[in-house]
Amino acid sequence: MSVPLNYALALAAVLFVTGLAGVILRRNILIIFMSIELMLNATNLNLVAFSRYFGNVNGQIFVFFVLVVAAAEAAVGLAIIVSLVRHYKDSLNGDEFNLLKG
Amino acid sequence: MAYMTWFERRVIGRLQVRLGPNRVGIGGLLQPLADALKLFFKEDVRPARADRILFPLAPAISLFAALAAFAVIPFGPTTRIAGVEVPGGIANLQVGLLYLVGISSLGVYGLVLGGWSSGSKYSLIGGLRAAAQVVSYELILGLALVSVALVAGTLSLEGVVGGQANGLPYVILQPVAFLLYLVAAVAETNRAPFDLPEADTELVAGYHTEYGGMRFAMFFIAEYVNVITVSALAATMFFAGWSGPFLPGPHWLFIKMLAFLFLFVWLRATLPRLRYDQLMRLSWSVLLPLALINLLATAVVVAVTR
Amino acid sequence: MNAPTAVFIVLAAVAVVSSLNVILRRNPVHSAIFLALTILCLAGEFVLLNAEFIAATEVIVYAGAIIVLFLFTMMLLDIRGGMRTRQFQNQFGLAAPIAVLLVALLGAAVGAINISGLPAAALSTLQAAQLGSVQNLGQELYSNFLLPFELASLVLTVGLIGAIGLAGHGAEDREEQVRIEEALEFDTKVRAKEGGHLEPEEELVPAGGHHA
Repeated sequence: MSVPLNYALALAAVLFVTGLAGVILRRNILIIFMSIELMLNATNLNLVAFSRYFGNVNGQIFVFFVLVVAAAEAAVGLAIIVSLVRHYKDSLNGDEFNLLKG
Repeated sequence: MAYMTWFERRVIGRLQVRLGPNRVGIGGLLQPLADALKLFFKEDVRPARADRILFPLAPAISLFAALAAFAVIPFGPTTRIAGVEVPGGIANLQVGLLYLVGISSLGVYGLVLGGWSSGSKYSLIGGLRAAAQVVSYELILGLALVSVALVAGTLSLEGVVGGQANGLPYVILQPVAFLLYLVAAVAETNRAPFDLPEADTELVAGYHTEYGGMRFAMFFIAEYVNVITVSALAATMFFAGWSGPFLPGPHWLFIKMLAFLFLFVWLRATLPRLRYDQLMRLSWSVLLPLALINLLATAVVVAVTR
Repeated sequence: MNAPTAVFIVLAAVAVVSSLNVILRRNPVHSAIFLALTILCLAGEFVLLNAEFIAATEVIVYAGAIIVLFLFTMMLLDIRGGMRTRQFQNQFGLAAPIAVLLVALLGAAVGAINISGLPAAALSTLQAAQLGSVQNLGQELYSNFLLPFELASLVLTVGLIGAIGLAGHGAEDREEQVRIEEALEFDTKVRAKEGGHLEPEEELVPAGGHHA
């Protein structure tokens, strides 16, 4: 095997933790959103690495589905952000959106 | 690799030497050289409201994406010696078409960031237009290429050429895809009549309004490299690329490419610019359904005949 | 250490640095660019792991579509206001234990994996190259994963409709309404003046300005 499995897993772990830190620590909703994408990609790396390791293509198929979900999620999420900022409160701070009804 | 860049630069340089003065109508073969020299030595102006990091980065991204996309175009059969061989990189050949689409989608960044980071409203509008236009037409470009790939049964550009070398060129098998590709390619490279991102009558110069000197030159070169790339791709995908009688591969590709370049210039000289809503409507409610229907029909035909 | 591993490490270093930049930058546009760089590095890692198709798809979907969508959103909204306020939450009390736990857990997990202990499929170079090939993926996708594949297309459709429903109308309709009202007002003003002569100022465009 050309690249050791551990290396890929370690990189995925670091990226995942970075993404999680972004979600917890940042205020800007756009950056929180991007951190989520970062976490998704860390899992993608894990899936691809295991797929290569076991010689089984299923992991890559999973990545494919993750991409689909990520695309749909980004479209809907960004639409929500745009309409929130336009209609509700002109701010990108996630803490300010604290009402259950707009 | 260095050999490849040298070769690439030669081709680009040569094409621009022919293109530039022809179109402007002044000067001779040295005109582009003089332009380049002038742009090189111009003062490097940076607007006060520009973003410090992204402003210089944007033209570099544009140029990088344009040059990198060119790398997978096959110039000749694989058996040829280094230099004319496909410089596809480590393992890219198998998914050459996807690589091309992926890299060309990176070109949007140059336009968007260039527009945004200039801190000027004309640039911003130009950048937004460019992004919307390129993203919507990329879809059509991709769908047209996918239907050709379906016929060819491979995503490798060499395989596509090989499939045509023995049979019909795909322009006969896929005329709809070819027309779609042509329209999408013109829009994708922001050339007239789809040059709304840089519509100078309304937006000064669009996303590169604030750029001057070498940075402007990079945008400029990127645009021309993009034109060359889509022409080469059109020749490869629809007109059998390097294959042809008598002459060696690169010559044929070059001739076919030149024909497309001429078409680009011709279009620019002939057609007026579209309005923005017309452009978007054309993309989403005419070309996209057409591309999808074409893809579906191709898939059915391929499935039945195979 | 062989060449792929060296490349992997270089790409990994770039990916980690740029991912840190994603979460630490003040300007979301910079974050987005660093996210794109991270994605590109990851795509490079995918190529090293014999997943060329996935790598290309990742670049097209993420770098070509999702992050451009992010940039688009940022240009529609005014992001400069958000850059002047405080950037970080006061959640360090919560974040610190979580971070320690996670690092310990993931470190243990990564360290615990014994490569020889797992039933690794020994792949020849040819087999490895075919693993991520388009043919192989397509075969699998349209046989064993047909239902999930169709469901994925459904998810995309729903996402598309949802996005249009959320962002498309509302604001635009209201703006359009205002524009129409202004036009009507202008129209009546012009009609009222008709017969007499128009004041030069009133011949200007409606207050709403030009249509986009």
